[in-house]
Amino acid sequence: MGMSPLENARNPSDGELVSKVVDGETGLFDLLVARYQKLVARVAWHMLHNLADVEDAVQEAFLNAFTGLAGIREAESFKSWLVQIALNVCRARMKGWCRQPAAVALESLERQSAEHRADSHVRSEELSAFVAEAVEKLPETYREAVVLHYNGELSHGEISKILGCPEETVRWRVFQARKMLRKMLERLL
Amino acid sequence: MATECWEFEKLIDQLADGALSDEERAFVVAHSLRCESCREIRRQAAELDNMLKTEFSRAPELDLDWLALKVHERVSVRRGGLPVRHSRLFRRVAAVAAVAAGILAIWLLAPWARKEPSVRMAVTPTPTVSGARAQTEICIPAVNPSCYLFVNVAASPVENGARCQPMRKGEGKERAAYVVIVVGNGF
Repeated sequence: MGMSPLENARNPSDGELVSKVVDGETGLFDLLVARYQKLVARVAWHMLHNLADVEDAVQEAFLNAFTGLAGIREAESFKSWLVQIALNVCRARMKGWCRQPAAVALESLERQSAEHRADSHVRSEELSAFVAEAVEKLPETYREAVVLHYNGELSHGEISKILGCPEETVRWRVFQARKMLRKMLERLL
Repeated sequence: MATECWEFEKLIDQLADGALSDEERAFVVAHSLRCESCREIRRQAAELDNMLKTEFSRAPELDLDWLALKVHERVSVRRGGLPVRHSRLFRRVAAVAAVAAGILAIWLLAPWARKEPSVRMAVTPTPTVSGARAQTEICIPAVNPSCYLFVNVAASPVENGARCQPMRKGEGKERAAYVVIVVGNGF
């Protein structure tokens, strides 16, 4: 069921907001920030795992979005477009980072999982840390697919737009990532 | 691995997404009841799915109000520079206007477009007497003879009793030979 005109006026769509901002009502960009900052922050968090980096990345993503807003092709796809910008910002930040070779990391993770399994009292925080670490060890394309898939706010169609690949490829990457994660976290399951 | 188990493993990850058809879901359920190792895989898959959902639902402990304010501040700085989308007609008119302005600027600044004023050096100063009042007329070269406000002396640099007349527009090129500054009383 569609929204009433009053609701529509109170809650304008992304496309309407984008058009108005581009036409000069730049103050309305704040509404888009309020609408999506949580989503962008979550994506950045699962990519960067560092609060300071996440804060910077979120600001940079919105700033880049604002600057490039006139060039957006489909105003209604603002959400996917914004997340794509956020991912690019995160990728640029991660470029300089030195990552452990995956094989070594996997081995150490399995050892840690086994030790903690023996405790049988793995606290949720520790569990979360293990999962986060395992996700971090995934190859970049798989990690991005998993981060976007489990974010819960994006459909496979939107993810495929963000990653610039067909929906089938998104499903395949998530499938592969799950398989790898299951292997990495086997002892915790 | 049996063909059924291999088929099962292919489908198990899609079970959580709800991406399976009724037939496929029935197969997964039926097979996991028959095969213990696949049952274990199904349990692990469900557990992993829960873990991932929990992990990814966690938001970073960010002060979102502060963050929104920071974004607002930084965007405000750029606000003047927001590339606004204009209509195609507007863009064409703006492009033509820009080209015209460029041509005009080149024409005005080019050496061939500038005409040097026909200025003669004045013979100065020449003391004159006009009535009872002593005057001194000092003539200096006119900088821009087409200027309306200049005063000139028509025939010769200085004539006794000649009064300075404001020039009218268009008279400058021929007649504005001198600017006369009168020093003395009575003006």
